[in-house]
Amino acid sequence: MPQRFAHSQGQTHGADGNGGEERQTVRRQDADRMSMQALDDVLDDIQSVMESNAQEYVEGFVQKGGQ
Amino acid sequence: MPQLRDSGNDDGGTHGCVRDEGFERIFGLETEYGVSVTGSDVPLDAGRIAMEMFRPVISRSRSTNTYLSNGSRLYLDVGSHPEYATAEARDPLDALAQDAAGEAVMRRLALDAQRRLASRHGDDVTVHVFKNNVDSAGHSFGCHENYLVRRSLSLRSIERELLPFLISRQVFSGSGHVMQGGFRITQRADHLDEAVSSATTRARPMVNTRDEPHADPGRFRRLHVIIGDSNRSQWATMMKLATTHLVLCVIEQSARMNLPSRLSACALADPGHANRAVSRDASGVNPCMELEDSLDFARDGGTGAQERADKGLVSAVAMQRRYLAVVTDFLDAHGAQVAASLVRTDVDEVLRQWRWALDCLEDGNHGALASRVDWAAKARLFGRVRGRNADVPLRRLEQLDMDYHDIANGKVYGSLVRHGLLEEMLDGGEVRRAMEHPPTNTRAALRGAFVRAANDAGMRYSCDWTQVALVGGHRAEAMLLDPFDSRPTRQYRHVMDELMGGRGDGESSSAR
Repeated sequence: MPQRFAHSQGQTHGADGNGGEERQTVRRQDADRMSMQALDDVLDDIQSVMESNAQEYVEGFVQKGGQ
Repeated sequence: MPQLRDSGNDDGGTHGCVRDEGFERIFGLETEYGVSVTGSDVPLDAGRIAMEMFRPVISRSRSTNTYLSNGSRLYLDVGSHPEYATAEARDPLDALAQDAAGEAVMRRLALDAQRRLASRHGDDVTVHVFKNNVDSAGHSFGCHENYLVRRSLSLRSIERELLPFLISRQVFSGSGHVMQGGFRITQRADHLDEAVSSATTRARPMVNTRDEPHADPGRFRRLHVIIGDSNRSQWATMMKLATTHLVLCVIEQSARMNLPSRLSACALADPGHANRAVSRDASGVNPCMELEDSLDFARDGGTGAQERADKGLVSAVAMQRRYLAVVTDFLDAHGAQVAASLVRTDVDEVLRQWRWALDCLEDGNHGALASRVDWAAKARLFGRVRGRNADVPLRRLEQLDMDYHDIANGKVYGSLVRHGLLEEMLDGGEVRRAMEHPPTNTRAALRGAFVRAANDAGMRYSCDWTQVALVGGHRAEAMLLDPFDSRPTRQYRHVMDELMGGRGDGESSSAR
């Protein structure tokens, strides 16, 4: 994607749309539906994580100390 | 600390004065990583994993503390944390690229260590390197932001005028944390107590004020911000640096003019309490931050309903709105100067993004927020997991939370990006460039060139933020005292000449 914050990239901000409140609501519902599908694709991607031993994974991370 | 004014530069030194008048800044990020292993036939603790990762570093530099040819510092910190400190950057976009390069460096070390460990402990060995801030036992570690600030900035104004901003900005910069007792928008709020302190490891302050500017101490301090989370979202890393810079510009200018800034009305009654309350309010709009003087806050309130300080409490979003309003007014007067302080970043775009995030929170549009804000991205994913299985155990969500931060073998973050659910700002080419090259407009350019040349020549050297030196047969050293200056000094040229002359007769190096 373009370098959002850099000079000379023009207006790349996507989510701050205009338009009436009703249109925005419809747009948001569409977006939520699409993201629901994408989230299910993510859950398919990470199936191996979802099937591994969560207890071992989580409790195996003990760092101690820091800073 | 040596006398810093005499840096041996060729010009008359007038640019230093200009800098004190302007808003130029040095940015840096220090990120501590956590490590663990799964799939091993024997238990491997963090210490052994970290040492395995640093084995090639040690064999190259005979030390676990080293500087890279991109000007950054790579080292093994107390508590077996691999740590990466970015080279000095004058623009948040450069700091972002350098931080992403740090992730890539850590990933490479981790995957190399994984291959070696797998040969001894089984093919299933998987090394996890977490760019997060808490382990499963509740040990907390950090992502520290460094901002070079003018000496005139007082500790009192840091606490009264900056801290309310740092606490409330977490509505867009928090990384999120699922835990027993619920979801938090930050990883660290439950582990930080004192507001401003000179210690880090024992007490955990939000802002550290130890005075070690790595620059002229007569002109600068180094503000060390401890309160922030480590971010995977590049947007969040960028925004926390850029918005903090703008707020610091306001506070510095009022100190310079010796006038009170409008931000002193934001002072909090109890920063630690406010920090925990903000972390617990994923809406961002519940009034949960107690003001020291709510009348003072309301007096400067303008007309918006959000600005009313109800019973002395304001929400994180209302607090952010105040900072945004003050910064916007400030830029009306000083916009050109502030814009000149940043080479690459478009300040107007930062303001638009800042406003956009606050609008999303006020509108309850967390779906949009989730494309750029770490905590919201996680919350949305967890919501979907629970939607498919209401009985999902907490441990599974904690695992997904950790996997999101695993820069070596994590699946969640990459999948969210691939499916368009989370934006990335940098492409692979930019990250690879930042792995090899420091920012060109700070002293990091000199350090990076020195490290590269010394490594190529196989000469012994030492290095730190303000100095490069050849040791052994060809002794020579150069102080690099001005972080804004990328021009070679006479001393530096001498060191590089020695390096070229002595090429090839040594074999090792170290950093200190």
